[in-house]
Amino acid sequence: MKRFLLHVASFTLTITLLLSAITWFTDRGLHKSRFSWYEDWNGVNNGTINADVLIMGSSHARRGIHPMIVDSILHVNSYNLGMDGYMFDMQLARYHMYRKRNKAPKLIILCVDYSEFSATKRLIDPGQLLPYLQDDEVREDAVKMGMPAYLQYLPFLKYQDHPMLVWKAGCALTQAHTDRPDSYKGFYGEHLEWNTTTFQQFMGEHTYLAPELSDGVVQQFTQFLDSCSKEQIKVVLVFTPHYYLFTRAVRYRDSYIAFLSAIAAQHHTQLLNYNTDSMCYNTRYFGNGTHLSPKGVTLFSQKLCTDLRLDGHILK
Amino acid sequence: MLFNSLPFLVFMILVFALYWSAGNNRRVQNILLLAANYVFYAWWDWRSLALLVTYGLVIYFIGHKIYEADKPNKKWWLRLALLFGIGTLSYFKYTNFFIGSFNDVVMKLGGHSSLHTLNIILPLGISFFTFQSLGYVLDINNGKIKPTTDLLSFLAFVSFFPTVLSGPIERADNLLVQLQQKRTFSNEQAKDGLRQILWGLFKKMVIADNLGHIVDAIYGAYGNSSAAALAAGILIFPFQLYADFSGYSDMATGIASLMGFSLVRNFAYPYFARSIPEYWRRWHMSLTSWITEYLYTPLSIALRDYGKAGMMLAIFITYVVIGFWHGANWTYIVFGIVFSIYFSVFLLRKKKKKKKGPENELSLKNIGLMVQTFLLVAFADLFFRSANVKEAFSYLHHLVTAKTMGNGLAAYADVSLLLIPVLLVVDWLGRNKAHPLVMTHQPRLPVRWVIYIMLLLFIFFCAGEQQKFIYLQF
Repeated sequence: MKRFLLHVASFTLTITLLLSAITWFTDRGLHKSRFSWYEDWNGVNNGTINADVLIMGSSHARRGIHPMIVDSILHVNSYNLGMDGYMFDMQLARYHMYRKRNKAPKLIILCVDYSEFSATKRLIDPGQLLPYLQDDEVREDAVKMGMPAYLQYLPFLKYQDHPMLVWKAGCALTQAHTDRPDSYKGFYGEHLEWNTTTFQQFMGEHTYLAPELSDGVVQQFTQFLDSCSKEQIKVVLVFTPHYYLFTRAVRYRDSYIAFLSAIAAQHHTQLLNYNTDSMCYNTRYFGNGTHLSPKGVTLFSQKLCTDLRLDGHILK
Repeated sequence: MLFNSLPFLVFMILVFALYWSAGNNRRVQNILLLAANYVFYAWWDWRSLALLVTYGLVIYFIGHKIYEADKPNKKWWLRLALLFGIGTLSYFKYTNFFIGSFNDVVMKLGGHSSLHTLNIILPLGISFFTFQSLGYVLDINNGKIKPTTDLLSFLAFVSFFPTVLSGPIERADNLLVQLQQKRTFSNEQAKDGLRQILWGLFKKMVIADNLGHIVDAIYGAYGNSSAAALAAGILIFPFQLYADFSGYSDMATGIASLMGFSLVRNFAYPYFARSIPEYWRRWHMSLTSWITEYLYTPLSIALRDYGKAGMMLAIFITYVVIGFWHGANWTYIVFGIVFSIYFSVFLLRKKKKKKKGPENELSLKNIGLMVQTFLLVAFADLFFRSANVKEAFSYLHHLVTAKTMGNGLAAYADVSLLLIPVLLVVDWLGRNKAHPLVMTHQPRLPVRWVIYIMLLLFIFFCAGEQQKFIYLQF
């Protein structure tokens, strides 16, 4: 029995050491990778973004506001920190990481939508979080969103089922193949084109659309506004354009906008609501009910910057 | 608590530690084993635990009655055991199937049935522990074994956690005998158990789960796929099924080895079989031997006076029972019927056929026969995989009428398909061993460890999305 246990223990130790080495190597590699999301996470983590204007939000931000247009109109250095599929809870974790290593932005454009203040229910592209699980807030949020809790104690297991990430890390470390970022300063320009059938199908499948609010997330949000106020960081809440037929199907939308307006007023911030804008009636500006087409992105980014300038959010 | 899950790992470490800390005290070991069996089963479905316990107690009691009774009463006790076993199985597994089928027939005849399906929870592993228990009373009735007087061992035999959910279906003269014997720890047996678990995990998590993903995609969109993609679906599924079920059996056998037990072999490289009968001798061997001994042989004897017709009938009944044993669905019955046709044709042609070459030889002739057998099996498995008979025929209809190439095939081209030849090569190379990782030549430690580490890394990094074991539903 002793011999057996000794064999098992030594084998377990060997495999643990090997997996730990692979994990270490993968972390290092992905911290240098320019692949997709890592470009943004690495900028946040390495303190190389230091933007004047930070665009935050979910996919409506990431795919809706082009930093190139923002830079050219406002003459600033902006960066889009939008996160596909993640609500304010994870956005805030990344913002806190950003603030630890980057200078404070002068303005935050925070895109809000109908699900912004719900708790993120599932991990989207969990691979993007894996090299950053050493950050307490990111890790805790990830576990809340469904990442196995044992990864907190057995970090060498975190790249399980992600062989491509190990490969990408290897490429980044050896520079055998360099990934070209598919985003521009965090903006992900997807070439979405309107398709009426798909939209109708979507609406048929989603018969109940209503804003969701999580008390915890709302509290996080108000605390965030307070802390920005203390740091003299301006925050503008922006409701990105949604196609009007989608908006019409959302229940309690007016009370939700009223709720947003109340929060904005309470914290002396501004709410720019583009959900009643004339562009919401034209399908050429939309890729689907809630996301803009390339033409829509250009027009919306221009409109937003013009409004920001007119409203006096000119940065010095 | 799947074998390939973290909770099971923790459970197994605890059971292993407690079990062997009892020293060589068989009674304490059996008490711990029984407790582990019930915890394992209750973890899955605590509501059905009472049934499992009752099952063990009733069969234990009837086993004694059969042994003690005189000849006419023996028969009655046996009938009672069969009624209890098959009746329980039928109630839990087949009641709704019969009600549904009856309603369908009445509706087709233009009538209206007020029979409603019942809200019955299917106890996990019921098909397996029913057969295992009935095998025990049949063996007593046939004078093959004496009933055990050790209730503890018997209850542990009926509920043995490595096999209770999906087999192998054990016989009393193997597992029960071992439960009644003193068990000492064997370093070699335990290490071999770990190797077999490792190989089972690889087959299940890397091969079956990755192939399952492709098969699900093809079957899920069969109406829009090309004929090539549909044919690929038919050909890939048998490999998924094999890797899944034999992977489970390997894990079960390996776990039993860790506790000092030897289980029967359940698979012997079935896709190298050169005929349908040979395939069934190599596929789910514990079920085949059970059915052969307790159903096919008595039926053949009872029907021998009717010549070929009697033989055909015996084959037909046997395979329909095999099919129906799998599940309460017409697909399994058709699956059984298809195999009964294969088997009958084989037997009718047997005399005309020339002798095959040696079994363990990859001659051109043997390869041809293997491919032919595999294609027949793959066709039958289409019914096994389909949700209902209509879907199976619709799939076949699309296979014949869809465009040969085009939409579909490229979408399913996945690197995991390369695992099929890997599985076949390893199976062939390990054909003379209980499992491919049996180290007959004892290569040096670093070589062995490299093999184990490679397999573990594959399991770790390349496992497919976790799917339940296919045979868990039976």
